[in-house]
Amino acid sequence: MNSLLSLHNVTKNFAPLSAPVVDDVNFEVNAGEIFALLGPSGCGKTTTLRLIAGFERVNSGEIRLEGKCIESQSIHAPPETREIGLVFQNYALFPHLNVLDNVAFGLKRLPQKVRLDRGLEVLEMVGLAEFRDRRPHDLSGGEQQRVALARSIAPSPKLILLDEPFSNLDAGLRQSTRKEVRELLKDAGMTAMLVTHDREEALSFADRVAIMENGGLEQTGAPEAMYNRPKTPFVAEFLGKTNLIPGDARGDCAETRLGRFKLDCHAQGKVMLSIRPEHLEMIHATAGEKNAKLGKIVEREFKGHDLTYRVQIEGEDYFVQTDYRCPYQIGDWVQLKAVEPGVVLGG
Amino acid sequence: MIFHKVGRYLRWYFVLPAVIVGSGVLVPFAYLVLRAADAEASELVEIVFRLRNLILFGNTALLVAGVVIVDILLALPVAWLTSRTNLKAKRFFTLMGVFPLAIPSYVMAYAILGLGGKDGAFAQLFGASLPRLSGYWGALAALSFYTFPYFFLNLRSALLGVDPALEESARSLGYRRRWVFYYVLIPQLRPALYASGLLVALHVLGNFGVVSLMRFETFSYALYLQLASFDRIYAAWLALMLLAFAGCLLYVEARLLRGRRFHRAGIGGVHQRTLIPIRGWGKLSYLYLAVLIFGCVAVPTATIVSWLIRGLDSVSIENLVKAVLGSLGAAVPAAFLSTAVMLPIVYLGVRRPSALSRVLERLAYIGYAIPPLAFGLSLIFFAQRAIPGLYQTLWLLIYAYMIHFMAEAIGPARSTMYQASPNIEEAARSLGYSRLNAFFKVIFPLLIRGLTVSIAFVFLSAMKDLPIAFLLRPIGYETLALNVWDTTSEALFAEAAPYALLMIIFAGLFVSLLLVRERNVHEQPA
Repeated sequence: MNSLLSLHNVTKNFAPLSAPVVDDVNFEVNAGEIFALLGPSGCGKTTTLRLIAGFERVNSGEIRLEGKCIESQSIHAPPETREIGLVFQNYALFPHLNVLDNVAFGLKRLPQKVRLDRGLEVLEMVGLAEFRDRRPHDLSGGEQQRVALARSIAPSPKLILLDEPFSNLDAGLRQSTRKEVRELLKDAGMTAMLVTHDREEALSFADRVAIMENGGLEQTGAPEAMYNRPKTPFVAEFLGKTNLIPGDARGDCAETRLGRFKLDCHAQGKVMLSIRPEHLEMIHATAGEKNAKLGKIVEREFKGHDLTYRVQIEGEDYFVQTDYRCPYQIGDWVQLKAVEPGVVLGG
Repeated sequence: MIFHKVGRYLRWYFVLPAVIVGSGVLVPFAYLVLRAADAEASELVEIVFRLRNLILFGNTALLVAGVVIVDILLALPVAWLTSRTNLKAKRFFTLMGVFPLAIPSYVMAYAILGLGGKDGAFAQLFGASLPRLSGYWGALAALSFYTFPYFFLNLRSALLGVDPALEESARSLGYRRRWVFYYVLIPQLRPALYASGLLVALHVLGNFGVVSLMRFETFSYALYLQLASFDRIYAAWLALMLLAFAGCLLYVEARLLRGRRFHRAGIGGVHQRTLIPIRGWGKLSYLYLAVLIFGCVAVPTATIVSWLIRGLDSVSIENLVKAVLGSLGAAVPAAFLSTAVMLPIVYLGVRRPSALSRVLERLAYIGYAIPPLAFGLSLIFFAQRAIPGLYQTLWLLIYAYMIHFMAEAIGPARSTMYQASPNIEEAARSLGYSRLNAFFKVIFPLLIRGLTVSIAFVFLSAMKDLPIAFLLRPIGYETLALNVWDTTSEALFAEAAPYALLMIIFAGLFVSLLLVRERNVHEQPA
């Protein structure tokens, strides 16, 4: 695979003595791929995006686009020369221009007629051609978002950066817009990088996800692989509810407080395991193994098509997700059993 | 329709202010028209179509355009440097950008006049004399130095208010910084440019002190000359022409602003702006700022001080006290009265915005926009015909200040009114208080800070006023402004110095208030 964008040991701190906001970050974005940078607010993901766009300077490290260095301590390609499109969280449409002029804004080197034709073409692509003469503030949030996208697609940039692009849409619109935008980007053959704190958004929108915490990257990979095989406790917990269980590994099994667990890989010695609630199963206290530890159900959360139980064993809480048919009630005594191998963290 | 809606607001405490504001602006205007209509039909053609009017129009237009252009050229770089770059000592330069407001225009004119000439301040200080700047260039310099802070303040807050993401979008779409400025920033700054342009143009149009000291014939100056020669009919016509000019400016501004809604499209957080570093040739900006400050702050202050030192022995404390008391005697009552009258109108405008409340507020602004000489003249006609006993009394002067400066009281009062939730008033009503009692018990205490600023604004504007006092003062009545102007127009620069200095001190208070208020506005949540 050929990487379009690559970051090498990129570090940024705003004040000389403060902790770096972006700390020795490395990753690559491949051509045609949609890449998501996911992390809690304040983790440095937006600063990373602004470094790539050219609105901040790195303190050390290097950013390359198509193999050419665009940002390092000594090199700084101005934002306007980078051919990197940017979609802001608040869309930043020019309020003094109508929709078509907004979209055609980046096509400044072309003759007027060609500009408007190309602008219209892109507007049609996002399905807003009939709004060409409207002012941005006359559009709904979802429409503004598509205009902003069209504006950054129009000059055919090498890469499009999206900064929390769906966070201003209400929940109902968010899901459908996400799907539309993904299809638009894929149809246009664009390479895109999304920055978000919403894990569902990152997992469903991106081909590959990188998780960031305290300025550093924790793990990079395909959404499913990240969910199923997290490498750190932070990633495991950030991507969804999980049970973190310490254990003593011997080969492909480990002894834990809940008994013997199968492991997803070979390991030796002390390990931390992550087991998702849906990978645990409850068995009635009297069934199953005789000497297994018993747990008491302390909480039951009904969510329609499934249920989440909180089970207490020797003062520790464990979460179990079951389907709607599960008969247990609060106060019942149960045994827990893993139906999938435990994931060894840090392995 | 209007009256149906506000039916339950037909209480004396709403009706009285409405009548005062409405009649205060409209009645004098009617008398102005009546007086102008005294002209014989044969005279009329001669009065309206004389060549002199055309020259006056040309001079006025040239001065207005010149001041606006010079102001933009002076203010835009300062506003940009203090808002967008990593300039050092930003607060100092911002303060200096506002300071010229503390120097009333006729004091600025006095300083410029007093600087040049064989025995001018410059000659006294450095031995070589500068030519005395007067006429068009003198008026242009004095008015530009005095008014450029209006542009500076507006442009600066507009620059700070533009969403940085707009400019960054343009950069990421391939625009260099200078083109971003042209294609994105300037369009966003247009409302601020129009608003300050209108304000400055109205100031120049109504300005009387500078043009009369510099002897440059604009409508206002011609009006003054006409009054001196007691040709009241031509004076009335000149006042009407002045009004028509102001009306055109208001109309043009309204047209330019129509359909321009420049609030941010879209919602969501705005991130911190990255400041542009000043380096290389950019260091010359400090030189530019230094020259500007020297020109419009240091030179006038130094001129006044040098004249003061020379005329120290001729200062009469008695006259000084008389002038201060005269200024206070008119400005203090006017400040309280205009705030009291404006308060119910602002209340209506915030709580029950209606066509009527908008008309009333608009009228207050029109009263402010009417060139003061024209306004004063119309009040003279009104007093002479309707209530002869009122003419040349302090009451008429106070009334004129109250109506003319009321618009200045609206802004600060309204912004605090918006913060006082209607719910607390409703809570008081539900606990058994009448509307009026509820207002004074729970709303008024919250407004006191805003109202203090309102009162101070009107007070200090009335202190600085020259033209209205000139027309409406009781015989023998003295104010600081009148004395600066009287002595300067007789070229008695040393005698003028103490009055000018006191004027600067008073107006300095005004400027510090402006700054305090600006900070408060920025602290308010959007």
